[in-house]
Amino acid sequence: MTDTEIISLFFARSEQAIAALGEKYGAILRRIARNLLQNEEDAEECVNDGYLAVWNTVPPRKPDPLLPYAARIVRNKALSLLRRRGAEKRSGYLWALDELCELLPDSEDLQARIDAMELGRSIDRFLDTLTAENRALFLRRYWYGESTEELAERFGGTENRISARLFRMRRALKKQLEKEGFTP
Amino acid sequence: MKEEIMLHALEEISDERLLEAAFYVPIAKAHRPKRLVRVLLIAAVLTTLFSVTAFAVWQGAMKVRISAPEEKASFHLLKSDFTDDYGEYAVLDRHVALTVTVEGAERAHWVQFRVSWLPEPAASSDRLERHSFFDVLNFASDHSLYVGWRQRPLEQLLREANMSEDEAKSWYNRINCDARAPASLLDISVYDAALLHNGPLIFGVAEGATAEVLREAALGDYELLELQVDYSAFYREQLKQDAPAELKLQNHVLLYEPTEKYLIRISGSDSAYSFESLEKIGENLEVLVTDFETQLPEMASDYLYCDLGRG
Repeated sequence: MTDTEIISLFFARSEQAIAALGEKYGAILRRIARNLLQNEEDAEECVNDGYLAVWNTVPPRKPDPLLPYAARIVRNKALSLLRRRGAEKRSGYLWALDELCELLPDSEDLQARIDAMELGRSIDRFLDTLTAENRALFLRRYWYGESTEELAERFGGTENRISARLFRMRRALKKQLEKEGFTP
Repeated sequence: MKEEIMLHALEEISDERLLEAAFYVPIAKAHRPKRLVRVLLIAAVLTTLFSVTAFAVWQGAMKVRISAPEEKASFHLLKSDFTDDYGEYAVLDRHVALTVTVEGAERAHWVQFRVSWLPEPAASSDRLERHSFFDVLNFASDHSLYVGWRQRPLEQLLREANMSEDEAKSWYNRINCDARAPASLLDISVYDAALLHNGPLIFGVAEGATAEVLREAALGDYELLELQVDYSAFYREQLKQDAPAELKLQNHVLLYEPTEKYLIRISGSDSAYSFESLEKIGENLEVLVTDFETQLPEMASDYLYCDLGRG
């Protein structure tokens, strides 16, 4: 079923819509939630909440492509849950996120100094400079939250080699952020 | 604060990028040989490599890139392994007479050795330096060198390695005597799986020296390879002087253990140590493979480069 057909089902308020969404993208959405939460039960709950959120927002929205829309919802729900869990249950994804945060300067008025949207656009521009494979590697680590072990399995090589590739990409991103004035 | 900003920033990644990453299938993976099969390229590469004249190499601070001329298509694995994706490293032509690539094991275990025989003049030299396993653990504990070792005190590392302090001090990963010493260069080093784990190890001979493979054979359980590097031209052309006797010719014996996948390099000045004596050192080495796993930290490149230098 195409995205347009699934969206049509949502617009028709057909319960088939959620089944179709789950059938087509459920595996990816569950993986995102599992990557971030590292807990099967929480992940399942998160994905179900995500389906409901799609149901409640489509219509009026008409997201095409559908996957990024649903993925952002599930990811945000998973991140909210992570925040509620508190520091004692930090997941592997937050450690990965720390690697990116290290690129930003230590500053008390960071929020005033850095516009997150501008930073995001800069990261998007940086992704333009990478090969398709490295873009996928970068996003699967820092957006989809896959572990280096999973990435090594998917992209081939050892975990260390994957870590080294990610390290080089972060280093290149840091250079760009410096050049664009995000970091001193 | 940083976390919030970064999470918001990541929200700005475009749908197109997210879709691409979600459905990306690494093409290269299908063509990559299984790691366990990609054992050691020494023998396979060297026979052909020796007839090859040059690679273009740039070697700077912690950055090395090798690019092979187009006609070296037979070194596909080398080329694919050392093609950097980002083009951020400049390439400067420098002559490399020989390149040996060693592929390491999956498991990052440690290998240490003891010597039970050393030739003179090294045997009685007071310039011989021994780098023990204890030194490695001590350094790692102090500097949080290895992933997973952070904030682990030395006592804990010793316990995990199942060694007393004295035992750890009696095993070595390197014994060397630099070439300026009266005993001339002697270097015994082990490149173990912990090191090779991160990626291939490349031995290169750069800076205008020439190299020759003199022998390939089996030595006990080892695959043996003997190389001789001649620095005469380097001294003549770059330093405008004749090479000192102890630096002119350097002999290298590489011993590769294919089961545990570690490499021992025994190098010496030809003026003091013949290949026979270097081989005899190898025959009399006692080797300990420690079932003590760790990971190397993130490195600037996914391979290690070792210049077979002048000591």
